[in-house]
Amino acid sequence: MTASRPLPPGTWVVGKWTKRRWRVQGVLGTGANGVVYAVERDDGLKGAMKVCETAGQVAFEWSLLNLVRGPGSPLPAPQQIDDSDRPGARYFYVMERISGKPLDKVWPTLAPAVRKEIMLRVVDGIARLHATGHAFCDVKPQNVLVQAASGEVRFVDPGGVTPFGKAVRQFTPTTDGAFFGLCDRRASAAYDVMAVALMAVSLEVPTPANLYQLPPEKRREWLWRAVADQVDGAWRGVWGRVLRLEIRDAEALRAALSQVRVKAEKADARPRDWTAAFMWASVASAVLTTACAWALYLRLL
Amino acid sequence: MTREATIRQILVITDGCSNIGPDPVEAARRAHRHGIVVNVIGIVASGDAGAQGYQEAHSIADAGGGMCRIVQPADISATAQMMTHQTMQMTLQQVVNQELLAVMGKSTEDLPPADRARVMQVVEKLEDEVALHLVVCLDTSASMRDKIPTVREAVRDLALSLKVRSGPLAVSVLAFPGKGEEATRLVQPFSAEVNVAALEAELVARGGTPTGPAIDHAANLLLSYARQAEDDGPRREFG
Repeated sequence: MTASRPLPPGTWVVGKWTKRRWRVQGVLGTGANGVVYAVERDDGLKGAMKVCETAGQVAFEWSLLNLVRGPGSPLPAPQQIDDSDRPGARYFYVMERISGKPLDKVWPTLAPAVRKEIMLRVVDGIARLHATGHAFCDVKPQNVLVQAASGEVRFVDPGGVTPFGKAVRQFTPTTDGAFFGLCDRRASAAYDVMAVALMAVSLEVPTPANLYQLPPEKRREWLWRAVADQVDGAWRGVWGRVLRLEIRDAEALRAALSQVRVKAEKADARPRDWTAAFMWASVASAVLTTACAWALYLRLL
Repeated sequence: MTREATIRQILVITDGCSNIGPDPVEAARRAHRHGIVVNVIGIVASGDAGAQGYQEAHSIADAGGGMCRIVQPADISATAQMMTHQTMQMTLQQVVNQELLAVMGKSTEDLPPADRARVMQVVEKLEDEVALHLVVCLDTSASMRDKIPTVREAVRDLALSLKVRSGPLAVSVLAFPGKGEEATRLVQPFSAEVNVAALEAELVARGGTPTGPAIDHAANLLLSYARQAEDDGPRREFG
């Protein structure tokens, strides 16, 4: 079960069952259980091809994509499942290719009002998925793609999608409520809503390396401090309510988020100006003092 | 099927090469012959010892019919959960494959891909319901000293993942090396929960890396637990 080298761009993959052909254009990403390639079908349809080591994993993810498909689904629409004789792409499925950048890459560039808009769209996507009776579970910034022009939000990696009530099978510790001892690791609306809040915290506060060696109580202490001290004040109330399990589904979270009053950009800039001015003044006075001291010293010599 | 069916697994978490006792690859092969799957998580180390250790980790997993991943300490917990889940799925799929072969003369791979998805839904349901007996073997050799808290929390975390399944769970934890002259030490006998206090008290880094003896010990634990469950299983079910 060793990982092989990825298929080079230009490789053709021929489907055994459908006889369709896909041309590999490049690697989109490498996950825990497979590789995703950008591909173009022989008739020009663009797609993303997921290749796994076993036929079972491919079939399993394919069945998940089909369970949650439909107009307005936040997850990529399934296109085709097939096998090929090419080593490195024996078992695969092809899905809609979703453009956009991962949330953690775009977040620092966004104005507060846009951040709120994006967060509301994430919650909308979660709500749509919940309407099918499934939780997304592996909510993390890398799995949320934001389209620059439209601000549209889509999710990638269906591997974590789980029917409500079943054990979560794929998660990321920093966005997993159970990691902090806040909830159990069972798929539910509350689990996803908690993950969204933890993701929002992780976008603003870096995770300390020693968090993994602490017991859940200590991790929770760190989390509460991070929310109280480091998270943008406008959001603090909402995320606090989620972490205290007062908000437990996407509807309630959407309602609470729409009440968030984000700062206007000018108000945001003022305190930073003072800090910068103070710093430059200190530097200038230090340079001046040093210059005077040197001048005195040299003249005395 | 689901009531009697049990999946038996050994999960080895180590940061280096075995250097005491019998060959761990042979031990894994012996365990696999008894229907036990051996998974290995190698913790990233530097230098030659690292490269040699990864080679051994992969060989153990290959011989034990399991998976191997080399990860940073922070990723142990999520990796352990993913590997346990995927190898349970693989085991069940082999069982389903044998049934399909017997009934239809076809394996899952011979079915059209769209029909495989339906088979996988069945596998998924079984995976949630089947009993799981798991022995976690923790490398507590001297080089593991500063990673032990992370490993301890990862084991606690793995139990959190596994206990929300519908099927029964029994986890046991072994440390290698043990105290004094012992090659291995039973930190926790089979139980539905992980005893964190025992982990905290018993996991002390010292000495070499007897990986082979640890796998043999784990396999013996699993086999004797299976016999014991067989002996008083029926009574418990009706009681």
